[in-house]
Amino acid sequence: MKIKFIIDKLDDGSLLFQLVDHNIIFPEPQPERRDEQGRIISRRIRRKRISTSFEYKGEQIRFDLIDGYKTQLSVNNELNHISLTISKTYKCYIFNRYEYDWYYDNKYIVRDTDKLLNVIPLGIKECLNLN
Amino acid sequence: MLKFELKRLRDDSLLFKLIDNDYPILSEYQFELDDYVIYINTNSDDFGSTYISFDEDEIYITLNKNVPYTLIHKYGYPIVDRDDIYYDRILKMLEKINTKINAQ
Repeated sequence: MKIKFIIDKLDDGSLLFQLVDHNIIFPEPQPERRDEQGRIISRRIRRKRISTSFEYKGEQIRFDLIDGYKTQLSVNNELNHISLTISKTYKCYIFNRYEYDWYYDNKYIVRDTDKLLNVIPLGIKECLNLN
Repeated sequence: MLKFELKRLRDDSLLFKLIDNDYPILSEYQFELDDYVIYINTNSDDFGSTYISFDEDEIYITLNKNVPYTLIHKYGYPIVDRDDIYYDRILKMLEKINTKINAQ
């Protein structure tokens, strides 16, 4: 399995992600499973995804590679949980350096795109190593 | 001046970059160009981002210097492969808008 992509750092520090190609076969979503008493044994996996976790400079990072409708990057505030959705239709995505936060102090958060630039290729490499 | 540039990406999306918007757009600026009605407004530096949407005869452009980049995908929602003639027309329209505004 392989994934080819390009990440350019734009002049405002944002990242432009462009998927070139991939031949990843994602596992099919699994239904929720219950035992005879109706208790949940395993929850429903809603989306096709491959997940992994790895260490980056002493920090544990969780990385999800998701089969989706639009290519998209999603990152939590601490940057230790990254989801990369890839699509063969919409191949490009801008991860803006600034994110406006409605829920906290209504100010822009400056994201650490330098770190993300390093961690995404590692995450993809780890995902592919699982198979 | 209102200046932006466009770059065509690998999947034919357009990367729109706002270079400058020191233009007196206080609320909403509207004009007709060819068969389109163009609406331009600004987000403050503390709110929102630059984005563009368009339909058959209208183009909406919202500008924010703080978040200057946006993508215009070739595929609409739901997945509609905008034909090349229509897509090229949009591209030319954006270039015309740029020229028209800066000629004023």
